Amino acid sequence: MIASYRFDGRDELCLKTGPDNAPALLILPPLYDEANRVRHLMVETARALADRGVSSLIPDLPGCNESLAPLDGASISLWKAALISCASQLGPVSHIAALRGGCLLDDALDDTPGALPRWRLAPVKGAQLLRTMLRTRIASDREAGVTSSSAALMEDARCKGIELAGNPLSATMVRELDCAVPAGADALRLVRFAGDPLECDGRIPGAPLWLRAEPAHDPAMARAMAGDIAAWMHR
Amino acid sequence: MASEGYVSEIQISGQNDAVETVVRHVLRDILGLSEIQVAGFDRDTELFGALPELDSMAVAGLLTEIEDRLGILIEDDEVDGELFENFGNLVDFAHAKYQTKTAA
Amino acid sequence: MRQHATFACAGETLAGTFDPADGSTALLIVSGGNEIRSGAHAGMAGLAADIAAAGFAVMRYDRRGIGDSTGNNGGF
Repeated sequence: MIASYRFDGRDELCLKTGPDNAPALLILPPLYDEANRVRHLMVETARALADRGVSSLIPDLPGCNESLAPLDGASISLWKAALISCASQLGPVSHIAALRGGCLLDDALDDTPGALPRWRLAPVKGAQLLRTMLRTRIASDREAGVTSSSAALMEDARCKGIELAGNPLSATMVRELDCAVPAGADALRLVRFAGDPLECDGRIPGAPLWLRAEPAHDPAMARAMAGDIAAWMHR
Repeated sequence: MASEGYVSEIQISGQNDAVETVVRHVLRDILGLSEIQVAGFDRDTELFGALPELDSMAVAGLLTEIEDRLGILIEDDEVDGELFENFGNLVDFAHAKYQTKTAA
Repeated sequence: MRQHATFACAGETLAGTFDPADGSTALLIVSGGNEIRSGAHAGMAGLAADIAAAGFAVMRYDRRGIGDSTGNNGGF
């Protein structure tokens, strides 16, 4: 269902699925271009969760997707404040599920550090996301005959902001994203793909769709995510 | 967030060339290929220019993934056209970076 | 004011977004490939807002199997 929350004088889109009278799972998608690539996956996961009696919220972060807020007005702290507004208007929120850069925001609702139970798939540091976006900038500069270096671009970006892969980032966002790491948490379930050799709390079939050139879907992965999340929430 | 764990876990599993396996897996993930398809890559398999899914955004993601899974740092000036010409060049580069790291 | 709504298509539910304006001519934006209706770096959403501000209403939607819509992706 199409819902909205009010933040900073604007209505922001929030998809709301599942039963009305239950505490919700807040789903935090990846950031920037990765979000588009897994949008359908996230929405199908929420639908599968609804079939299992779990309510979910998928909010637009200010500046992203259908938001009318300017993206260069956003920062990690602003996004966390927006999530607090979303939860207070459309919640209560009892659990969080986050993917990739979404994991950098999943402590937004904690009133004590690590308080809210969270589920994470493929957590990433802000610096890694910046690194990838900087590389696209260096590649397109190179095509235009300009030689840039990440170090020089970052130094400039920390003072003046920067546009990377079509996304305008404010200086505040650059600084905050560069330092951002997923927060420590008491109740954390870390999930990895079946073929991934590293340790984790659970495994699902699937692939890192956020790395692909264009959006793609994996129905089995969405079903597996929903199954794992629902089982975890019902414990 | 993964660092050296990938290589040592692959080595423990008995696969011969852990670094090459990591590079194969990253290409599989970026290109959305199956295990069988990516197993068919050999040294001469052409990459950038031959594979439409490997555009400059995908290459950016590929470099960061290789860095993350091998625990290495790839400098801007190390990235040139030759690096992505074929699978062999990319694997050789990854080996060299990994050796330098483990020798340090 | 930007509005979001769903509509039926061949038994599935599609998500769409409407940027209203007063003019009698409106624009329908069809996303390419598997891209979602807001577009890469929200480019289509931004374009829709600009065109509506110029007096032409704009509609964008996610086709079946894409973005917020249900159904299977039958290819572009």
